[in-house]
Amino acid sequence: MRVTINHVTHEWLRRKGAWALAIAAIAVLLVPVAGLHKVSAADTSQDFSIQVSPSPLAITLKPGVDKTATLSVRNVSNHSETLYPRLNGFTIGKHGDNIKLLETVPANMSSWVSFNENSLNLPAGSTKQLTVSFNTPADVGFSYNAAITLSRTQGSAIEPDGLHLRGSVAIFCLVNIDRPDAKSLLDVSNLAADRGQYQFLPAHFTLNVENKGNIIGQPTGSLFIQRSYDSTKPIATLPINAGGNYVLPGTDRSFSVDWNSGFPAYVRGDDGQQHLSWDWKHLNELRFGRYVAKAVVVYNDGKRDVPVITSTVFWVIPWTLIIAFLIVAFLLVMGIVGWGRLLFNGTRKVRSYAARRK
Amino acid sequence: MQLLSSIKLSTKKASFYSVSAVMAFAAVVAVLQPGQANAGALSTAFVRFDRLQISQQTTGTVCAKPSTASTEATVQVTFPTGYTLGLAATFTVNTTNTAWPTGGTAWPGIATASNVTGQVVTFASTDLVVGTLYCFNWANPAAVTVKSSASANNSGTITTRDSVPATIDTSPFSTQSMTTDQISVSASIAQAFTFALTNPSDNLGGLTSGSVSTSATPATVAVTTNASTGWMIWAKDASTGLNSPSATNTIASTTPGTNSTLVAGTEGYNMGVTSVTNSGSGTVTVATPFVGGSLGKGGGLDTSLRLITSATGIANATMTLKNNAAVGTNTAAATDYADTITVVGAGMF
Repeated sequence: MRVTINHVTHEWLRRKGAWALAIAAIAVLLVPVAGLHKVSAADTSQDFSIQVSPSPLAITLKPGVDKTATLSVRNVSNHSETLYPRLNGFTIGKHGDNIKLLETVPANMSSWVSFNENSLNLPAGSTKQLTVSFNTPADVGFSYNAAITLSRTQGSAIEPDGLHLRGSVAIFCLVNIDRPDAKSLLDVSNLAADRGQYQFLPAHFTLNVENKGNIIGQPTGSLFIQRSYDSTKPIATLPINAGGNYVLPGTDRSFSVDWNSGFPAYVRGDDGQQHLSWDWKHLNELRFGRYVAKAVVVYNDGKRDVPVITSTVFWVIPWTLIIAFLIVAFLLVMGIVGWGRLLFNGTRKVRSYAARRK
Repeated sequence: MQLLSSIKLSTKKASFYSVSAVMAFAAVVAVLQPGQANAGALSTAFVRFDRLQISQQTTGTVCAKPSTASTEATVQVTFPTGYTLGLAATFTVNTTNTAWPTGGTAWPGIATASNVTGQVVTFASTDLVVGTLYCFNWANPAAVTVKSSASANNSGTITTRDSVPATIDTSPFSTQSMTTDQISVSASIAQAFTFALTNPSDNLGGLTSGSVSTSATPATVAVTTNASTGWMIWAKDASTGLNSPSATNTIASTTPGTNSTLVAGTEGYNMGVTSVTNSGSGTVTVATPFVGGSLGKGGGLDTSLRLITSATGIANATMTLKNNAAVGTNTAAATDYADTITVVGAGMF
């Protein structure tokens, strides 16, 4: 029987099995093994749109003195929101990069930083203030960093009905402690142009600022483009750190500065591509020769401005213009010489003709 | 011919004698000129301005180390051209050590300026010892106003003089005038940061082993800000994958921290940033693991917040986030696969 059955099965499979297996395989491939919640694309009730200000929140505290700071939170969406504030830590790399938000509350701040509101109920389009209280202990120092996050839920539970993205906004909170022994010290290094020689501007410079003190620094200053190091009249004065970025203690940060004002100069078009712009109004900005970029970074050490200076040399040589000028000059000279010879020969012929006539 | 040679020789001699005479005369004049022959350079000389901002009134410090033995009676500070000086009476001084350089000593006999002529301010002094660094502060900000244009090199001089008055030592100093020396937030518009997440409920539809599923109406993240400090966006996954409680199975995130492309029939789950539009002047960068753009391309998420996109400068951008999933033939069937991805945005500092 077993054999018969086996024989029959074998015969059936031999005749129809190949087709059946193929159909079964296709069915397995097509039948969903996992279902995910379907939501209409037009459903905007879950959209998250929040504006916070200021961002970041930078504050200076005195030891033993309580202080509050206010964050303005605006619900930009078309539905009401309830947001829960939370204090998170973050880590930062040596070069001011690789910033990682942490789930944990920074241990050294949790006991003296709190929120006056446990939650913010924000009707659509409304703005409310979140008050952050700093009950500064007497023995704190010198600087602290955290992130204030605002999210819809206090936990991170999985929503059970499919795949969801949950929005949250964070505000970096930078705290300096105003103590007599706080040390503000910034150092500047590696001012460099991306090239030693340019044909046309812009010239791109990067400058590295290292915070060697124990409080958060906010460098500012100017990059002076001039003919020599000691020049008293700069050709251009370009702002350094116009955005007001901070440098945390023990880290460094790169700042970029572009010198664009040249003729002609490369500009980025609407298509995102660079092209040479010939704006004849800037003809007086034709750049040629050796230049010195002198960076003067200034920070305040609590008593006075402290300038830190570094410089680099670069060249602007518009080869294309020079070659074009030489060709034009050559043609001009050749033309003048040609005309001269023509006139000379013509005059000589006229004179010899006149002499023969005599 | 001989006569011509003789004339030439005489001319050469005359030239030589003339040059010698001129040099000798110059040497005599230089020696006889009082005050200049012995003038030396100060070993150290600087003027430290407490504020460097253009058109800003400032206090400051003058330091000098004499190198020539003599009896000082006055010190003159010549401020850089363009600096506005008050009357002599405004140049009140003190000798409080305001973080003077190492070795700085109170300047003896220093007193309120006795004269201001042009850019030159004259202070009284008593005898100084060679090799000692002397300092004093002018304490009234009304005395000096920084010039109105920015410059990396504004030069002046410090000169010590005797009672004649003749110069004893003199040296130049240099300072800077800056457009802004401190970033002020009190009178400016506060930096605002807006973070919007739309289509947060993602629909991957039914997952089959025959194809890679991706978001049909993907979520978008939009950031608008008036700050030029840049911003960052991180994301994390509540269960490091798509989890089904009923099947007790998780379609695990594909190697968090690396970029991958899912293949049909091989279980996997990731998220990719498939498009970025930026209307600002800043630069938006998608973190390497989360670069998307083709079906199934992206990075896996886990329970720690991972950077997915960052921007420098003023960047107002919209990014599309697509989730991708693939299942194998032996992936447990269930209808309750779920996941929650948290996306956090923050303006940089």
